[in-house]
Amino acid sequence: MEVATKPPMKFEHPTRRQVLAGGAAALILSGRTAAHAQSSSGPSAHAISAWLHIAPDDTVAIKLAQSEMGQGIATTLPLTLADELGADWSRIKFEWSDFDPAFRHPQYQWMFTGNSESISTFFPMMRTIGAAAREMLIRAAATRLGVAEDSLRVESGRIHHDATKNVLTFGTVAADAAKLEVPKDPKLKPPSALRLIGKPQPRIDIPSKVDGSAIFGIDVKVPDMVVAAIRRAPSQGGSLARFDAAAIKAHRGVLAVVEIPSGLAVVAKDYWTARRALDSADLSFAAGPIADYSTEKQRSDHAALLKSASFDSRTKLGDSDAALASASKVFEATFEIPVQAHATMEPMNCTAHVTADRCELWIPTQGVEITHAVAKQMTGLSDDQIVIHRTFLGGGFGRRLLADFAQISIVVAKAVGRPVKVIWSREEDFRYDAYRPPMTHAVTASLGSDGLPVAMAHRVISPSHMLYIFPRGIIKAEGDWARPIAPPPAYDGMAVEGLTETPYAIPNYSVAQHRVETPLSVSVWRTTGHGPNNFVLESIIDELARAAAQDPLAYRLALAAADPRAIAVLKAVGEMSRWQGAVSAGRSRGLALANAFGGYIAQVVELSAIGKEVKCHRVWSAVDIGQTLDSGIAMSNIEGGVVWGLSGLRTEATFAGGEIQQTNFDQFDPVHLWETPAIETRFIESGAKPTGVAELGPVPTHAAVCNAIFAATGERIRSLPLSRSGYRLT
Amino acid sequence: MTQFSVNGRAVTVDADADTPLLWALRDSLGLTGTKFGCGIAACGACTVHIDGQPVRSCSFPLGAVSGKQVLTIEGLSHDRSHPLQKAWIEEQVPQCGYCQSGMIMAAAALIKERPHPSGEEIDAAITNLCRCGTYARIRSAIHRAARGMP
Repeated sequence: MEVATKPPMKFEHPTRRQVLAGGAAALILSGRTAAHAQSSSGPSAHAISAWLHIAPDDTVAIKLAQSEMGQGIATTLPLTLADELGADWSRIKFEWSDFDPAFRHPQYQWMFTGNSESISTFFPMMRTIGAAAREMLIRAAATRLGVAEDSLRVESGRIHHDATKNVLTFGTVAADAAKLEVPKDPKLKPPSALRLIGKPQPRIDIPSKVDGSAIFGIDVKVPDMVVAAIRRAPSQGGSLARFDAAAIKAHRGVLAVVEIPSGLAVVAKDYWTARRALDSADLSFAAGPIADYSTEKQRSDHAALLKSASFDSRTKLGDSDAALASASKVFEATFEIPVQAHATMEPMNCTAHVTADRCELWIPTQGVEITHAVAKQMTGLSDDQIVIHRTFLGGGFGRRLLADFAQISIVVAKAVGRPVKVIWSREEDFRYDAYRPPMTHAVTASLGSDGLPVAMAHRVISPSHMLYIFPRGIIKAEGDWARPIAPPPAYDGMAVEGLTETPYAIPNYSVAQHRVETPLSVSVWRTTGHGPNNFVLESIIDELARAAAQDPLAYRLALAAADPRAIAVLKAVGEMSRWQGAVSAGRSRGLALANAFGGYIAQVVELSAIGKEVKCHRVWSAVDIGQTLDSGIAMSNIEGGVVWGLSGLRTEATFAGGEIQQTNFDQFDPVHLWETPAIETRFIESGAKPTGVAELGPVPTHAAVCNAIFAATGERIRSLPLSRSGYRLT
Repeated sequence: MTQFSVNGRAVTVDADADTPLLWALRDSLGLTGTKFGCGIAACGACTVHIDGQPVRSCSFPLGAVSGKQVLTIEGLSHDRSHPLQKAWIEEQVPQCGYCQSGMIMAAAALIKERPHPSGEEIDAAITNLCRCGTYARIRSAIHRAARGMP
């Protein structure tokens, strides 16, 4: 890809002192607080000074408040602010933020990075903050020069008065600007005046990721730091029954042995010394509350619930029961979605230092506020005594929304009284993952005389996906944050998202859910409920198209006729893949459409199936994320998303006796380079509100692949992963 | 005590001979560009070169590198000027970036041996894992770097 501008200045990891040092006369308006925020659309003074610092030496520093886990947000949000401000992008300084209410998601009032929501929420905020700061700088410059505001022009960090050829830099007027009222309704630049947004930009994080200098959580080093390895009961919630602390401490270099929930931490000056002592220790564990949990039992429990459970209605259009009862032929299918592990490449880790009046954490987290809250509750310290240092995340995928790995580090840090980095082994990372929960769906449908569905009823058996990340319960309602707090049903639409609203016009349509809890700790997993539900919906739509003897693309175009965004992506992917043309000998194609995370995607997969060996050759995606802010970053998200989708057809976390049976990458086998198909992606600019792209790519992949397998073999796959049907992705 | 060379510099590491090279690099020598991913040589995040050969350092004992030349991502170039590093930036390969040191080191070993690798040769040589799924761009970047090779 070609990039539009030169990469910006080097990425810096500032200390608190550095941030404050630049602040004395900077554009810092923090004398006022969020409580004084205006009620209009304009940003508060506190928000501006939290996100943006302009120092007298013209340094423009922008905070990175959303976590960078590969999705590129650390580039796009500062770039948006800088573009609207009129700053010189090549000279911006980037700084990780700590926790601050100004960085909260404006709707949930909670600071986190997830659910592909950073663009939809923070893109407008960055623009208004940039615009408000620009107007304040212009006002200060106008006063200084004694000229009208509208005679001034901002370009690359300078304010020009063309008539007199006067030029003031941002830094020279920043202190004056800071004293001004924040404009209530700052005027955004017209699209023609934007220089950076909308063009592919080099990511600010990439140079440091090709020379080993990027700092992830596991790379953190602080003075006097020690390192810990941990081992816990192999089934979640089990307990450490017996260990010989003296024998472990007898190992050279071991500094401490600390009991942690369900297990033990061994502390040493370096990781391997701790790990070796732990590995050779004779630990015995008592089985915990989930010792009878198994994949087999979960599947049979769900199957029984489909017959006996009561379901809560989530969506009801027309009367699907009556329509199905009177249909001459009813299509019925049951789908199963397995438990998945996140398996981020960087295992869980967190460095903590807890003293009588301070708790410092160095943590690769998606969940800054939950981490802050947990640290506060565990230490009894006040808000400003908790300091969270951010790092890059070696993958997130929803796993790092939780604060359980902070909790373990805080326990160990309190015991050893000095900074300690706790590094989980890969095995611990699998055993104490917060998994994507299993789901089971039953679908019934009937067709009208035109072959299109007249009735469709979904019944979904699903646990809450948000049990452990639900912030209100954790922080306000419960003293013990570690206990999962079930969100009320209204807050966990994830189990049925992608079904309750579809692009399709089906006159009698219903979605009902039975919420069953799983004893496993769970979290959202890239694609959240959209992935599983799209697999169900797009599989059954494909099945109905075949039953009606209609082309799957033409069928969807007819069913989605009232949704122009759906039609546009379907037509585009049809063109890209030459859907109507002949397919090479031995190859088959499958199609799926998704409306998820505010965007649309239509995807075609071309594969060959030799016996039960399936090889994906090509994947075409047409994507509408409203406005593509950076086509390079967006495309990389779709490419990676397709690989995530393919991996999910092969991996699963299975359990026996309460223990996960895949504890490393020799048993949990995501897709490799040699299994990656050619991926072609096209973006459609619909002009809708810009939205996130990180989770969209994999949403249709499961159905597209399984529909292509049907085209190749005549066999419908309704239980994932593919291995349950004897298929293997190669 | 194990003496060897890292990125052209003579080093002595005071750790047990069975300590994995990975942890000697990260903890004793402060070279954290090489990553811990699995500990069983399955994912490749810890790939370094020993006497020019790609090795998964999480499962390679320190004692066995005595007298050998180790190259890590930090030593590939001083200024991101290795053809693969340039290609990685031009193709905007990394996402989370955690696996990329190992990927680049695996690719560097490949193009040293095969300056113009075929697609099949890339498929066979790059067996590292990337959960972000940057594989398509890794392929493109290796081909791009190869175009600049003599």
